[in-house]
Amino acid sequence: MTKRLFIQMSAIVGVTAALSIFSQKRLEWAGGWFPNISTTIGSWEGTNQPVSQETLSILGFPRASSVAFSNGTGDSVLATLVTAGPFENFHDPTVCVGGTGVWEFTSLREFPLDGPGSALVRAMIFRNRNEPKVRIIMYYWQQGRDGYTTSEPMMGNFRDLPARLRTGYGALVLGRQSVILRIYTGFNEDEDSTGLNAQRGVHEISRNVYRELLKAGKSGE
Amino acid sequence: MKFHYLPLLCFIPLLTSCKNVRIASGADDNFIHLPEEINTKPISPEKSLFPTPVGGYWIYRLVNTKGDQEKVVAQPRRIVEGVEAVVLTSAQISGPPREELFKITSQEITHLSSTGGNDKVTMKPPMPLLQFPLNFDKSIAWQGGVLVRGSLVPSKGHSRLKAIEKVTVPAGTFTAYRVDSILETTTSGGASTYWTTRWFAPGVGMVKVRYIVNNPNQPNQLFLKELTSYKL
Repeated sequence: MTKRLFIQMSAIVGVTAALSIFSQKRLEWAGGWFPNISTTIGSWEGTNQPVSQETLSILGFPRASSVAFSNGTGDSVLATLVTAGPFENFHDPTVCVGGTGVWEFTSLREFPLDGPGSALVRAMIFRNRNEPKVRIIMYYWQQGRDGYTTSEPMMGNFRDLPARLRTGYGALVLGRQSVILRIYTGFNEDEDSTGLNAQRGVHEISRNVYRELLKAGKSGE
Repeated sequence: MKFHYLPLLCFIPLLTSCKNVRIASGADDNFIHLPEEINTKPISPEKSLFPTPVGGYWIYRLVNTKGDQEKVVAQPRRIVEGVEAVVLTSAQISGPPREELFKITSQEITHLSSTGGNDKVTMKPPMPLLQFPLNFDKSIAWQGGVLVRGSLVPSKGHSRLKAIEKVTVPAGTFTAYRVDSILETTTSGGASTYWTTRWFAPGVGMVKVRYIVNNPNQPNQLFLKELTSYKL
């Protein structure tokens, strides 16, 4: 009886250990795709910026790149790309930007970025609590090497559990490699009364990054 | 025994359930626009009067020097004294290459410097040409110095958005914003006045430029250039 129990326990421990190693390797693999963002997009010129240690710490130290774009008319847009491995990498802007205390999360909308059937991105507005006319507009989405995209929140309450399971399933079972994009800019209501100009820049950069990543995924880059 | 796996089945809907799609629901909903709006609403004049995508170019005919033309090319932007400058280089058949630097922000368009041949003229501080939001009644005064060959010459001037006019040039007919500027300075020959009128067409840039120079060496000399083609 004891021997049988020992064998059963050993089998459970063995299977658990094997699954653990498998999961670890799969997550390492999931975060292994690190495509470039072009530094020239239409009239926008970008320069690569270092990602701060503080940001990397919050995100669990993924591989990350950041490009600051400007178009010569006083507009600027920041694009960051991080590899999507463990769940810390998915830190949700509604939580971590809003959680700073300076920015209040005030609006959210989802829509296809590049026409019907394209990536569903999450557009969000954050308003500065100290200067209420100053806002950030941010697009957020996750994009896989295979073209899969999602913008679902992953770190909130029970409602986010299905999204976590789907993402985990994609990474562990399907072996999906993906990156997380956060593309944003700030604007002042006095200069850009509806935020249209700011969003136009964020939208143009986002759409081009999305297309580039689709192309990079297809070509195996 | 066969019902032991039933709880596991509960997780299957979680994997396949509808995505948690959100709709606008906040205080700032009017600050998020759908792609249709972004693509169809016109760009405000402030953002389109002076487009300078790198590699974009404008070709002008120089009316005073018959047969001559000037090609202006937008170069990669450059940081000059802490500000990002738009760099335009121009080449003429009969003259030395020139370079003009502008600073374009959401508040204003300012002229930083002009270089032609071995001469470089730098405005200290940069001279504003246009301020945003656009205001037809406001004259923008400027007082400072023009740095020429290492010496700073006291100067003054002003700019004004004069009118919206239909302008016909070889490249076509454009609805353009006319901006008049005057610069008064001193050159080696004595007092000099430069009247400049620029016509900016939204989405195109400068479609016509007229300079009148008045100094002892060039009394009331007129220079005129008109857009013949462009690519942005």
